[in-house]
Amino acid sequence: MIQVCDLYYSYGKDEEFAVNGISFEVKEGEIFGFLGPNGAGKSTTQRILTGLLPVQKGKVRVMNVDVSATTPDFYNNIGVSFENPNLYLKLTGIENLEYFASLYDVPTEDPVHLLDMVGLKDVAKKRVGEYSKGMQQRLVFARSLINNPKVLFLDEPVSGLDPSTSAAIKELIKEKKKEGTTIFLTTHNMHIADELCDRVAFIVSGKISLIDSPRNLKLQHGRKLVEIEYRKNGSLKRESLSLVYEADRQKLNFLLDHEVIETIHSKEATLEEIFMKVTGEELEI
Amino acid sequence: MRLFTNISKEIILGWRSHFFLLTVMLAVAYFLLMTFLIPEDLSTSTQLILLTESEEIARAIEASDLNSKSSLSFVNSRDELYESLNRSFNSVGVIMRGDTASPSFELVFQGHEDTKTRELVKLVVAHLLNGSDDQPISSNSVQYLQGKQDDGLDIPFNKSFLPIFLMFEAVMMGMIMVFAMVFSEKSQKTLDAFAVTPGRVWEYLGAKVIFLMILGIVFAIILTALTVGLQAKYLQLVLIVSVGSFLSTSVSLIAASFYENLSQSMAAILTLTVIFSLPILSYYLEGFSPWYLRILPTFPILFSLQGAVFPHQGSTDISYMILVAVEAVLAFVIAVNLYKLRIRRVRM
Repeated sequence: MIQVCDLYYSYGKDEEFAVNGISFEVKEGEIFGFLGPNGAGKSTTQRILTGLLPVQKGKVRVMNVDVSATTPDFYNNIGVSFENPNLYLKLTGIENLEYFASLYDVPTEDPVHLLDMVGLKDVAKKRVGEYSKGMQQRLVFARSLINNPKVLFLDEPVSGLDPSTSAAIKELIKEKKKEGTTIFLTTHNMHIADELCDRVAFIVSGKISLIDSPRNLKLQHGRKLVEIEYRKNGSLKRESLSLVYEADRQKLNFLLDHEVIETIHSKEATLEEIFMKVTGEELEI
Repeated sequence: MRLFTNISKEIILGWRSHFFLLTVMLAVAYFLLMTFLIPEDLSTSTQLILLTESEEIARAIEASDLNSKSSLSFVNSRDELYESLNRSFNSVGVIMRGDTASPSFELVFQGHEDTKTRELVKLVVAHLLNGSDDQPISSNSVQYLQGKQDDGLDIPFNKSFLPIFLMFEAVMMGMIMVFAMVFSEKSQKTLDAFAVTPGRVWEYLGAKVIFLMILGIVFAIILTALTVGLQAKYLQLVLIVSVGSFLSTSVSLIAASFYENLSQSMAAILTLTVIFSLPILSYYLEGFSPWYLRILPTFPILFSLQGAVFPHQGSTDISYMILVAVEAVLAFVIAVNLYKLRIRRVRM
């Protein structure tokens, strides 16, 4: 659905590349996470994929369309949610959605239904300038769904949202995936990526370090430990045992057979830990 | 359809930003300014106060049919003459003696008159006493190249400002307001949101042009109706304001595309405003219309506005507006292409 080949981009048109020779593919119906710290080149890549920045060098095709020569029909089939809410503050929530819906040549969603989905139905007739940042973020997300896009570009869709709203947005993203929408998710939040993405790409300083599914990454880079808490002689004890070393495996079996186990957790590496291990960089969350 | 929804959006945003209220208030304010603060007559003609010590000369003056008699007043004594001079700052006393064969006169000035005025008064008095041999030019020998139709109805000085106010506010209103609108949208980044839809740039900018045109027409109709009532040619006025507003807004859109915020663009706004205002010189200094003023699009706009609101005085020929319309279309096409470059898309 998305093919990027040897893409470069420089804001100063010099050798200081914000995007430095990246290549990747996103399959139809997949949620592809583009992960990296601030300034890594994530949003620049999304702006190129959506035609907001020109392709300076390399090839980019979205839905088999070269984004250097997009047509209005291309925009009938994509939805874009921006990191910073860019809405008409003097229009109401519903007026914003109605206006943007009127720009499409394809059947659009009912604005009231979309507002209901993101929990803004009650404030539909309130001016957006009076919305909190979280409400504006939800409206921007709702706007990206107005044309039932085949490809959805989401830039930090749950940034700044409270946990319950964030959970609601994540559910909507999962629903869109079930409907067959291809989703390009840009974020620096590894928990979101871990929960939602089929595959992720780590990008640092404009270069992709690695692309794989979160599960494979954990299996490849995790430490394969089990953390176990048990009672012995009335006191609580805690141990971390390797699933790889024979001695640790035998001890684990012994504890399971002879002691009172209180808790047991597999100790997988988080995506964040893998990111740090692979890129040597820390994420700013 | 998309153009229509873009226009609706601009009208709602404009209404909620009180643009319509401001336009109406501005029109009323200009009307009040013209009616109460600018005088109807700014003439500073000198009043001659005559004391004739000779009956023969008094009769001769009474019998004359001079136009300047309206600015003459007669007194019977020196005391009365001095009192009249004290009452009127722009008056000069003339005391006449002798007979018609060898008249003499004494002039009593206020003291503030310059040499030019003093010499002029001397000439007028000499004319009163001796008559003039100058023959007036026949009105039939005068040909007005711009179709001036002077039927003797002079425009009061205060109302003569009407075409200028219409040009400044109705036609050039878009120049400043479009900067404010564009920079407000730049700060809200709504252009990015528009850029990822199938909406065309010409529809987006066209809506702004039409919205500002509507504001200009509202202003023009209110101010003209209050000032000259039904004597104006309203259809012609609406046409001129529409074309003029289209041009000025399009030129401003071009300029605004080079700046990021209002403060950066102040120099450009002021420069454009000054350049577009220069034809006012030709409006007030009749005969001063050098080529560099005539090539400005606001030159034909200003004189066409004059013809529309004062049909008996100005030229009613609006064919010059066709050229302005062509210039407006060109400016709009340039603006659209600049904005397409700005949002890095190659489509219309």
